[in-house]
Amino acid sequence: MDILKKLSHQRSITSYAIFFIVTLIIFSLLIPILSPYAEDLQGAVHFEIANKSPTLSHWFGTDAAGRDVFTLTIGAALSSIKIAIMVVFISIILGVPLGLIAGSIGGWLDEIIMRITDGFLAFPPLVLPIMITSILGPSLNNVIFGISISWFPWYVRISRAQAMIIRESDYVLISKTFGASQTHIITKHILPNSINPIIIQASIDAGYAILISAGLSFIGLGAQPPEVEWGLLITQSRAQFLNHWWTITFPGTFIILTVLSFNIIGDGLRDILNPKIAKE
Amino acid sequence: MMQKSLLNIKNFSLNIESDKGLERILSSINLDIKEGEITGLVGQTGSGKTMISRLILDLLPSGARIKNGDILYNSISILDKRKKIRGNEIAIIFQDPTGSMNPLYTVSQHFNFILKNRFNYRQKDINHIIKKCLKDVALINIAEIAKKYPHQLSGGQAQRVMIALAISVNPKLIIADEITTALDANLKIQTLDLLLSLKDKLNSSVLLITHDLLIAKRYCTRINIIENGSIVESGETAAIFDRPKHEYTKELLSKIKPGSLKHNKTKNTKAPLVLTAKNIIKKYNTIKILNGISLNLYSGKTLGIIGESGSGKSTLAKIILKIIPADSGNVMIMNDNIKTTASSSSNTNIGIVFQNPLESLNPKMTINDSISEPLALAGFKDPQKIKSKVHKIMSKVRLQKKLSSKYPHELSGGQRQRVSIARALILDPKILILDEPTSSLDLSVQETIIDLLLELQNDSNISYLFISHDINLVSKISDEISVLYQGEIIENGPTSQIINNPKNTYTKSLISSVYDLEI
Repeated sequence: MDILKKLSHQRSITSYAIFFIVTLIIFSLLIPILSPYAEDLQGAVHFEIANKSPTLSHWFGTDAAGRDVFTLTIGAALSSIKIAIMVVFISIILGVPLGLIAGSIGGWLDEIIMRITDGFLAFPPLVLPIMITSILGPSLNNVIFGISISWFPWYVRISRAQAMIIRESDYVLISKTFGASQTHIITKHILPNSINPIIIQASIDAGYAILISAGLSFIGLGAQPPEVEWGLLITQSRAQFLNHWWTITFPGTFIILTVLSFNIIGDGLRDILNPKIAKE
Repeated sequence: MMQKSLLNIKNFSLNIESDKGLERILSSINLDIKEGEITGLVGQTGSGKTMISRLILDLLPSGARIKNGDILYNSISILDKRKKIRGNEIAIIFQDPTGSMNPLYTVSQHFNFILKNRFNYRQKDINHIIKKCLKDVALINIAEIAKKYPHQLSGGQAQRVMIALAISVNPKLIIADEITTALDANLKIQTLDLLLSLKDKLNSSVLLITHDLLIAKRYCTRINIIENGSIVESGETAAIFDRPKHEYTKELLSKIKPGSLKHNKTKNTKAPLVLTAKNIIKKYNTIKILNGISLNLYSGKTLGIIGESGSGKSTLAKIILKIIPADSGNVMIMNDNIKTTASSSSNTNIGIVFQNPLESLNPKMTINDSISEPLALAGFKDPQKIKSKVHKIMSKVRLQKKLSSKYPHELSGGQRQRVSIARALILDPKILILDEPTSSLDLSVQETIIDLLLELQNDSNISYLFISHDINLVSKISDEISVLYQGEIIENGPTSQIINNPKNTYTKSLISSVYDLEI
């Protein structure tokens, strides 16, 4: 009962977070039409108005190339959210089936899958994306690929652990006595019952994906100009940071808010999807 | 002679805040626990009896709102200082002993927590108390038990340790909340006898919370019957049993009329064999779980297998179902010899119902999907035909049609077990294996499930293999009984013979444990 009360509180925070992400996506899509400085997104420069502090005509000020920071920041949201969603999507597509197979069938197949996965996990989380993007060349898509490759093992682990619990449950035993095939058990019993922790992990990871990609862009391995991306915006303006605080502060704030929102959504999902609470 | 009142709950009402608004959990509870007595609080799951124990100890869930009422301890209101009294003047023992202990700490460390951290005893004194308390609860090998972790204790040992922990603080009141539910018949009596002797020794009182009227009858001076959050009847035990006033009490009593070991089925015509098991042996590592089990099940009959937890009865069921292979021996079903080593091929002649219906139903599947799963696996394609079959079987097990779109957690325990039975029966098996099918259900629900099973057997001439630790239930439903003890069948024969004339000492103690419950 106590948890229900907390949940209703959390739900209101969760709904703010969802509202933030959805609004950000909508404005990011519309900004090329709405903004009078839309050409800045294509790499236009106006040195005559460089480094202006925030005014009514330039809400977030302008950067060293005279670009409107508001337009850039909002416009960059789309690529960041694309990274978040794609990374999580690819990690799930790769990781979950492997984990479910390893967990529900077990034996040598489990050993092979898990040892390969462990191999990926042996790399520190930033090193593998750095390696991959350095080899394939810096670009947004390679960043997505790199982060996904270093993250999918976590989804293998989660779904394998779930599968190992559920395959021992009474309803799977009963299903087996009626002659259920391994495919039937995985798709009908194990997958639906292990999806919750995967969704929760995904929504939290979405935030971190943005953080990591911003980091990669910051060291020059991510998005390339004239593409706009939050990490890239920050690295482009870091030299002017002390004199022109707005050039970094606004993209940085949006990174924080977006990552925070994804985390809050993940927390909310965890509470809502928790079987104990759902039962009450 | 009237005893002095130790703890008195006066006109207490309690609400709980939830999504659906305020819900009344307890209404106008009056409960009087007298010094030196065992007071019984009897009710079914969800009746609010545990809420009362939590109320006394100030362990209410945080949505709880006290509406009115007071709690007097030695005639002084303690409503605001229950925390001080908890674990000091009042101790509680819970239902699940292993779950109430921290798995990371040994038995003696549990004592240390209470005695050192709360009461600042010196280590020397603590060691002394540990020894004394463990001795008091009649544990042997005290030095070893003190060093063990919770998972290394058996259920009976763990419950004794919990009792020892409770008495280590010399409480004036011990709350025993369903402490024997998880224990076998023999252990039940032993544990409660122990509690009774300790109560006299410590000169304390006991609040015995249970769903089992027979236990209350044997141990309690006074009984309070609780239903839906209000105490419907209270009085001296004899009065309640001889002259029940409230309808609900009468209903409860009617279910446990004496002569407990009833045996309804006497007709004994020759019937063909449907299942034989011969000399089944199963080892885990070097431990023999099953040691040469043989049994025969006849068409339309029920074979009861009775045994304590750990006797190997569930393993036996799984071998017959071919979920796990046996090391040797074979099982013949419908004269169709099935090697016990085969594992994945299905047999539509056997259905299975497990103990816990919530665990045997996929929480993400609707009732309709769960019941029709065997049909889908057996290759039925026509949705119309599947639907009509599901509806037919649901009405057979007395489930309303509208439940078919619900999920397991929306159903009651009894309904869930009916769903399990429906699923087991949907392919018209000749044999149904029932592995403790009622032990997670309330007494009155158990009754209805047993009645349903008997009725189904009458209608369709199905054979049951009924596995349980409860001699009461087994004798009610079985034509023949096999007693399983430590992996061996130590006695078998027709039910009446086993009940009235047991030969083996273990069987005798099992049977007498039931009669012990009659005063």
